[in-house]
Amino acid sequence: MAAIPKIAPRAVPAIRPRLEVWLWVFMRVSGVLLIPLAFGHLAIMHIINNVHTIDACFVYYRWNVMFWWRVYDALLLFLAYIHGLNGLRHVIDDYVHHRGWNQALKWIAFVGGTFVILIGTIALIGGVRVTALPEGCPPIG
Amino acid sequence: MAGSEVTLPEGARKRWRALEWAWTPGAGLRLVFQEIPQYRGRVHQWAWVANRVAGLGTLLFLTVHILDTSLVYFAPTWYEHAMALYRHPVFGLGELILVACVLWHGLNGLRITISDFRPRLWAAEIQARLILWTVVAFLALYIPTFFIMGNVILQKGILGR
Repeated sequence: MAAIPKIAPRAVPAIRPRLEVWLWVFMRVSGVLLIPLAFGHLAIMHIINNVHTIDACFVYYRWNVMFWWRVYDALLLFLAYIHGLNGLRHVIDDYVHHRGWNQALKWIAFVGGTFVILIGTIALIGGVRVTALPEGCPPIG
Repeated sequence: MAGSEVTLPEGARKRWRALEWAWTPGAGLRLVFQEIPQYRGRVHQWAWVANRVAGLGTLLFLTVHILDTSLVYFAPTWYEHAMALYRHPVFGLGELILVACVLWHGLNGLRITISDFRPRLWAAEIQARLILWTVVAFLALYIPTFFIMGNVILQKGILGR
């Protein structure tokens, strides 16, 4: 019976978090934050209000009269969409093994996603252009 | 056996490689549909599949939703058209599916996050129970939501009251 050689314990350097680890942390943190944010958004837009009561003026009052809703929507926009894009990246890695297709799809997702976030940010900062509505919005009261 | 390898002529090889490249996403999909029923991961696997499908569905809607809401700045009158489209019962059905996707993805994600912080919970039997609780929580939230939203779709979208 061969003696099992004793292995001297050696110091293992601590793992320095790199992009992949930070993305994992982001997925968990954004996921936990999105539960109240997204569920609240659903409750406001689909239960308390619905598509029959929501129009451009609704968004106008929501964003201009109550400024903090813009912050809420900005958080939703960035957290949810980046969370979704990173999820899509994992799905592409899982099913598309051809290097060329894999890279191409991930680039399309990245460029397209950046475009969508950019458009959303511009709209969020610009707000509702009431002047472009033929009848404007009635004063709140 | 040496010398028995078939070497295709250069042109055919190039064509074959191009064809292989073109079929690759199809091969990935075949993997999905053939291997998912074969793996037999039971409820754990179906929870995972549902989580992934719900996430992708939400991402798809999110893309459309960010672009349509941004119309309030770029073209407010078009936004009103988009909302008129969303009032159609077909989109009402999509809305019901969307809310189910977000609820399931959120609750299931919560289960995964909690299990990551308490790794003992990853034991298969405990996970089976946690998945059951996730389904219960999902139904408890979704059934009333379904009736509230379904009522609006029926009253306003279909009957036009």
